Amino acid sequence: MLLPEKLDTLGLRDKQQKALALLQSTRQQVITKLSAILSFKTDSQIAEFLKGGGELSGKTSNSLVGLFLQMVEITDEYLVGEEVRQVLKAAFQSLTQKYITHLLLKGGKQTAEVEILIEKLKFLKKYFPEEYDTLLQ
Amino acid sequence: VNLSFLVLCEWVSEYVKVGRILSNIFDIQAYPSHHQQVLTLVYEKTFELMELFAGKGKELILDFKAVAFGKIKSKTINAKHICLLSNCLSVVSKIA
Repeated sequence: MLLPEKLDTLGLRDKQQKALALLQSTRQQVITKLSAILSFKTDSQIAEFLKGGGELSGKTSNSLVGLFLQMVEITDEYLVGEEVRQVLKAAFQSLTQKYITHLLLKGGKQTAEVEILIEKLKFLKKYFPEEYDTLLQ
Repeated sequence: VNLSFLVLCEWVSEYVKVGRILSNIFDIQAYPSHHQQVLTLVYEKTFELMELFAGKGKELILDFKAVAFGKIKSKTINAKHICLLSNCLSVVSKIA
C-alpha cells in the first residue's frame, strides 16, 4: 500500500480507515463466533454433562466429542493468527481440565476413548506444550 | 470464502496493473494531475473491494449463507470455516 503521506495527498486516508475499521469489526465478530462455538458452548455443555451424573453416553457427551473433533479439524494452517490461537487455547483448557480429567477418573472403557482423543489433539502440543503435557500426566 | 479471497486477490492485482500501465502512459512530471487521478482511482477501488470482501465473508460464514448456496460440503458452518475467514481477513487487513 501507499505511504500514509501519499494517502493523505490523494485524500484516501478516510477510505483506508473505513476499510480497515470494517475489516477489524468483521474479524472481531468472527472471533466472537469462534469463541462461542469452542469455548462458551464447551463450558455450558460440560456443566450440563457433569450435572447429569457425568456419564459418557448421551446427547451432551456426543456433542462434546463433536467439539473435540472440530478442534482437530483446525489444523496448523489455521493457528497462524494469534486471535484464533487464544480462543482454541481457552477451549482446550476447558476440555482438558473439566471433561477429560473427569472421564479419566471414572476409568474403564472411557479411558481408552479419551486416549484416542488425546492422540488426535497431538498437533496442539506445538502451540500449547504446557497444557498438553499436563493433559498427558 | 476461499473463492471470494482468490477473486479479491485477482482484482486487486488487476487494479494495480492498470494503475502501473496508466502511470507509465502519463508522465508524472508532465501530467501530475492525471497520474494522481489514476492512483486515486486504483486505491479507491481496492479499498472498496476489501470492504466488499469483509461484508461477503460475514454473510457467507457468520450469517450461514454459504450453507444455503450449497458451497460447502458440511451441513453447517463449523470452527474450520470460521478460522479460514479469520485468516483471510487478517491477510487483507495487512494489505490495507
